[in-house]
Amino acid sequence: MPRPPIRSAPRAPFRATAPALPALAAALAAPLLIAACSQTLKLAKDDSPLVLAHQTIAAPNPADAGPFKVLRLYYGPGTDKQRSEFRDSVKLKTRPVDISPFATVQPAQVNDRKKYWGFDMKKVPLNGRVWYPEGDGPFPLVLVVHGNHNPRDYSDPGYGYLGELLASRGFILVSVDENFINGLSGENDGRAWLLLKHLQEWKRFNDSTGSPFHHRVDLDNIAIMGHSRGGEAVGHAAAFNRLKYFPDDAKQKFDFGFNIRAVVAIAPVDGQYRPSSQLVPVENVNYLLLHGSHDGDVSTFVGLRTYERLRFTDGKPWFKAAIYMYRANHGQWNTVWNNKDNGPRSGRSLDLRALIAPEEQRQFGKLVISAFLETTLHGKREYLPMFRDHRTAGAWFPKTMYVTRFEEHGYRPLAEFDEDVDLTTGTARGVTIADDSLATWKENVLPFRGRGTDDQRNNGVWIGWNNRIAGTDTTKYGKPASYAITLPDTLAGAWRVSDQSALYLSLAPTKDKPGTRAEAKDTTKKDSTKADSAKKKPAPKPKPPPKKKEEADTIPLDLTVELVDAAGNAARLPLSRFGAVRRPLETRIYRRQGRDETRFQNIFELVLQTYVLPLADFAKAAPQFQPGRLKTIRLLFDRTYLGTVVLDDVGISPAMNPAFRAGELP
Amino acid sequence: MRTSLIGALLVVTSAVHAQAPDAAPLALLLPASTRATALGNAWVAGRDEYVLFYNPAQLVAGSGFGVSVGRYASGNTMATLATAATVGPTTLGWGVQAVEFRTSAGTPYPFTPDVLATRGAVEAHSFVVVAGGAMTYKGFRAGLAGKYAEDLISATPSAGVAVAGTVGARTAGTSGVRRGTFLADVGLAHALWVGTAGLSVQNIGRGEKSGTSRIAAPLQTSLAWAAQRQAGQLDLGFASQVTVRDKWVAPGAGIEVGYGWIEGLSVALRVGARRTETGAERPVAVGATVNVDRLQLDYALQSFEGARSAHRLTVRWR
Repeated sequence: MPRPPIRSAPRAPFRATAPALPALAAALAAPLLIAACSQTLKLAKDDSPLVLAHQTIAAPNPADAGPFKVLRLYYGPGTDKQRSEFRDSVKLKTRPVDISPFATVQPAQVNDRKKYWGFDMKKVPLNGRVWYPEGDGPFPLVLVVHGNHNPRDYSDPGYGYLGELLASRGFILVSVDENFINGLSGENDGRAWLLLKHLQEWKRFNDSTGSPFHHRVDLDNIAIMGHSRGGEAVGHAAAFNRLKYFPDDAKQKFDFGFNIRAVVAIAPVDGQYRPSSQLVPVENVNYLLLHGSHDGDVSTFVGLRTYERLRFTDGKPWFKAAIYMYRANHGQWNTVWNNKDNGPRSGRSLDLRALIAPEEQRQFGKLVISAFLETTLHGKREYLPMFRDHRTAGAWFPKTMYVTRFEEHGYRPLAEFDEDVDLTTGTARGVTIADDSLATWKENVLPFRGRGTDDQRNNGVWIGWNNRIAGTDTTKYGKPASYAITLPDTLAGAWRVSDQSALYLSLAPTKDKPGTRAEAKDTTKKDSTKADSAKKKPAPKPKPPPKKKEEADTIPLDLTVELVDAAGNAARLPLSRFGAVRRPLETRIYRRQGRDETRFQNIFELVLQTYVLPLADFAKAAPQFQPGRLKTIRLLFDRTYLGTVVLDDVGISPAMNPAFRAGELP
Repeated sequence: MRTSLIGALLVVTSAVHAQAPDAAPLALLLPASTRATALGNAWVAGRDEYVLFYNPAQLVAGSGFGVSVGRYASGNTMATLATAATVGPTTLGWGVQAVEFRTSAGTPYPFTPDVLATRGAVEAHSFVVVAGGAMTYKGFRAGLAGKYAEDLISATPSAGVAVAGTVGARTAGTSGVRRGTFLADVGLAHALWVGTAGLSVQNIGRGEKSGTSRIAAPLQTSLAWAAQRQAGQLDLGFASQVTVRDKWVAPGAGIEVGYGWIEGLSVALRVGARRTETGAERPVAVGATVNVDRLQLDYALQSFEGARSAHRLTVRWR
């Protein structure tokens, strides 16, 4: 039907709208201009020139290439649809395995994944990229596995720098391909299980006469390394390796039992898979944990939980170490991932200017991983001191700041603050704790910097002090506050504490500043206020002074460690003698102004520094002090008049391996 | 290349049917989203809450809340809002679009969208309320929506509105005109190549009753394809569709380019073209989006014959 003419009605007068456009555009742009400011680069003051000023380990740099010629090969089923090296270049054939009990694909992804990879979870390949030394061996075997990343941006080639180094130093390094399970969730048990299936293949390679690795693999010395989700998976693999059944389903029988002597976790996650709904217990392996302060993916040092859980129960000489590297990120440990912690557009959200150069981050990785493996698999004890105190290798470490944790198998806890809610008791039976003039004394769980309820699952004690006396006289100080842990009379003897023993404590200053100390009451004076209170009006309260803007605390923090024997002989040494005592390392990951404050509850991660204090050093400082009769460990806050520290893991290693104590600093 | 293709489509389809067939209520003929306005109203394969007005299959739960306001140079005003939430395996949503305008006496009915570009003495309203849901089955998204649409022309003794339809013209007279109808939409969507293909059949129903006969609702079928890609630091979007209503074929397409230079701040520019309902509407529209953290501002500019225009703005807080 024809429409009646629509233009018969009078038209409204035309309104000029063009001039409104610039105004509208300006209105839209204004908030952008205001909000677009990225924050200025803020980094903690670098003390590395001082801290890393010495090199007391005389051995060759473990990050330098070794004497072996490096060879490379690939193994796998040889049917890979996407990668020619795993299709055309495999020298050793493996059979696919069924990972479906451990890793499942969402139904919506099944077809896409199968189309891309050419297989489903029932037939995943055991693909490996191998760097190995030329020679008869046998050579220790090291497996490294990547973590979660874009499955099509293959992660396994990214550890080639470690492969080249370690193979030249007499290790077989295998970078395990698990790209095909990237992008899944709840698959971390599968990552671990795959690693162990690779080890089974390596046993076969070693046993097969036609294999290039026939009797060349030292299966008594195996290490597994993992990055990110792979870093959690190596913990599961270490646990599965000892189990007869998959914890979540006994239909899946395990029969691994490999001699995994060392585990390296690089920027790991924790608890994505929980066997039997528990965080995985790890025990009786050497363990090295690395994490970067500027990790834009796993932004909390969550691997510390695995570190804390790791127990040494079989009396063998295991040790564990954790190193928190300032300005390191998540991806630069892998040459494929690099500085894209938040994906291809990381530069929009992350402040990439804050990152240490990728070469330096990887140099650090080469250094500590190589030293760890040389120590644990090749038995080279000369590198042990750098795990106790990284300052012994100051010339080797890239110039940035490090916070380190350390514990060897001989450590016995005196006070770990987890066992009860009594502030005055320690962990070991009979240990008592007392304070003198502290402003803060409380035990609590150590937090992570992230918002939410996640924490380190580990308690510590907060100790705050302010030696200044309240009042107008700013030069008036009371006696230094202190915190004392007292051993029962028989404990030093029972543990065979001697001058070969070492005291452990882990500590981190915080930014909390307690108020001034109240003046001690003079009880000899008459209390005049009682009699006159009815007559006199109370004096008006003085106005509080205007609050000053908080300035950066530049006073270096230190304290004295005082050891007292049963005879009352005391020996005192500053804590800074045994390691850097730093306030928290300010870490701003994001580019947007204020984003770190929004996303994190703190702009620092509370990472405790482990100090290992040889008792011999105290005996040397005060010859009358008898380590074998150790009675009291006192932290004396006499070197900085106010501050707060968090303390944990106070204990003694009665007979520490002398190799750890070598390389004493001047 | 794509622009040439769109141009060619416009030329080819213009020969099929010169003008959109009569349909009512008016609210069903208007672009329902600011973003879609600037993308050639090609939103059948789009993905947000406002897609409920185009293709219920593509309904997706958004975060936060937003409202869209359109202001014509004539002073006529339109408002749209939509929201959606996930409930179990389904996504449920509802939306409303209402336009308040004054039109001139003697303006033919059913109204066409360009009626909003002028201002008269007779008050009128048009609105549509829609509620629907979508769910996925074997990779296909299917959606269903029910809606009620109505035109309301106020009683204005001094001015009449020519009302066309199968019963011929009559004036609103003293009692005004109120015409409403219940309708249904069905839709499908599926991933296709690097994007999504969508098919929707809209305004299934009997149309509005006018005396003893009815004015047809704009029963239409649309086939669409849309995609979003990252190209380096740019976000590229493309949306296209062809709508068939009776023998009237209306293609539409648009592209958008987005750029974010720092987390939380981004802009997008878009341009689209479509075959319009009437010759008085310009085929090309432009738009932009500014995101500042949780605040999102979408803007679109639509033009009419005679340098008249309409500004449309959606403010959204996530």
